[in-house]
Amino acid sequence: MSFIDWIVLIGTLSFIIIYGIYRSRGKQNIDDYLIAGQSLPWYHVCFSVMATQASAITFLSAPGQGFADGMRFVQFYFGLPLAMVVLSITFVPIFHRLKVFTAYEFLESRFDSRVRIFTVILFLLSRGLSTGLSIYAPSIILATILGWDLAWTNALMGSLVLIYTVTGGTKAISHTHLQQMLIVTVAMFVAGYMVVHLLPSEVGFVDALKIAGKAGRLNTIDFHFDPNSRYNIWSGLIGGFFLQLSYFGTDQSQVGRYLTGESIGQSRLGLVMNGLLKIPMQFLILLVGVLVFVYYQYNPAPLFFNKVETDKLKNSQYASEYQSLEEKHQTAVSNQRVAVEGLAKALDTHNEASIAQWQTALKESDESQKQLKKDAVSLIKKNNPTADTSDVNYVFLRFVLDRLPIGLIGLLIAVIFSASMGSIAAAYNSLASTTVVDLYKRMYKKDASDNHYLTVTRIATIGWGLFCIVVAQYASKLGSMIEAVNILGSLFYGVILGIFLVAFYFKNIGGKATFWGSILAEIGVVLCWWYDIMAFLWLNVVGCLLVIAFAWVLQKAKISD
Amino acid sequence: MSDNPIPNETEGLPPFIKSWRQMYGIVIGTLAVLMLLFYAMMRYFE
Repeated sequence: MSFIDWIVLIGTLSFIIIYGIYRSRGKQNIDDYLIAGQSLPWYHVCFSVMATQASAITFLSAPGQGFADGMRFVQFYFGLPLAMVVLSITFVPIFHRLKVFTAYEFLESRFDSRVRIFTVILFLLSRGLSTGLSIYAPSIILATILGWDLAWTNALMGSLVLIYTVTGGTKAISHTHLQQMLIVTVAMFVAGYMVVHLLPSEVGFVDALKIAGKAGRLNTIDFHFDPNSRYNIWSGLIGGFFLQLSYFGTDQSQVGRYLTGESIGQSRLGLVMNGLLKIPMQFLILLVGVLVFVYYQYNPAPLFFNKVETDKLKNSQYASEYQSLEEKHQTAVSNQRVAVEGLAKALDTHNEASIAQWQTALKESDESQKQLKKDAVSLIKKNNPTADTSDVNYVFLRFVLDRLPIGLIGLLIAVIFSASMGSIAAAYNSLASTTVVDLYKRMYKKDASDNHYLTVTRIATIGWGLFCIVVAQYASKLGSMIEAVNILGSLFYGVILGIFLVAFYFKNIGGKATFWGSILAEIGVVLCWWYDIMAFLWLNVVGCLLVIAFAWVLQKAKISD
Repeated sequence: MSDNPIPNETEGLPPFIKSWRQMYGIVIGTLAVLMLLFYAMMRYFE
């Protein structure tokens, strides 16, 4: 990175941190610190929930996914607007009227302390570990590509947010979320414009879409029902609905955001606006990746985007094998260039036979490059079993560093940090507030002063920050466990949602039936995952339905409280 | 922080929308329109 990029990066991050501290200055009580005194308008709620959900990996991995797999990932978000409507009707009014700090307080008033503590433990376990991974995932990519030290990158990524999260609490987080979303949106639009600008002069935006469409990258909707397929319209609408309802309705990192709304109406409007904006935003991020794909149809793409691993390979005993793959890749790239130029001409002349011919040639070239990439991954794994071989995470950053002008590189690295800071800040805040409100205050010190709880929450925020940084430092040693921890959310979210739905809609079911029903449901979900019965999104549906079913049966069997 | 225990059912709505039911209809309608647009775009460019 150049000096100017460093200035842009440091300037942007400093602005966010200073702005967060500035906006939350003055004396705070525990209400201000945990839920911003319930004083924020809808647009704060909206951008805060969006910034919390969009982690750094969203801006690294999603364009890479668009590049490699097309637009079909957008279906993952189809259940989100429906979830926002259900949340606005049910969850928001109840949480507001009960004046709770965390979602789990409600469970004790509805059931008993057992159900509350069980849910809190599930939340702290899954959120604590996944936040560690939220720090590690972008850090490993930045450290690899930019040659930074991983331990320091983890520490920087995890500790920058502590500065304003500890001092300013939720108010600082919400104000910085607004700035972060603004920076992210502007930078992604500029990146999209730059990709189109870098295409050959005769290829405009619509021509690029035509080429992407013929290469199968605009595969936005898949009606085919397959429980083992990760992304189709049914898994998105049904599985996605349950996942988003669970995430936004029962995960304190999100509940804490919309509890900041100054009224029920402001919280509701923030959520439904999120329902309106999220899918177009995700669509545009994926589209940037698809445009990068078109760019690399006219320009040679590297065989593997993670250059550090390929450099290691070139200096290993597998160098000649890799050289042979590189030569085949060059041939495939040349064929691809001929095919894409032929296709562009055929599209101009509307020659259907020629379009079909070049489309087939382009798809064949695409397939052969995918196969070569698989072969390269096998070699990389042989050479370095712990290498990060998920190449989609490196596509966009490699493009940014290689092709974008000075200044913009710094801005896009700042976007990755900003997005990361947004989700990590909300996670720290929720972990600390749940620890203090649901455990410390509930079990150890019930009647302390406001100041005491404020101090303890600040200490808990620092404690969780350090815990998550430590998890990030050890994440690389988890090896294949990383994948298991990634689906941890889906293992627990459905069950947590089931508990809340029983609380809201099944008034005759008591605490004991719900507690044992949720334990049986959790065992059922783990078995479904263990035997690989379905794609992970469906685990949310199964977990939720099992809790309701078991709790209902146990209640009917007259399990008394 | 609102101290009113009985919330105004139209509070928070944008000026051109009369009820929350209508607002939710717009959200679900927008989802349907987006899915249709995505499908149309996919078919047009494929």
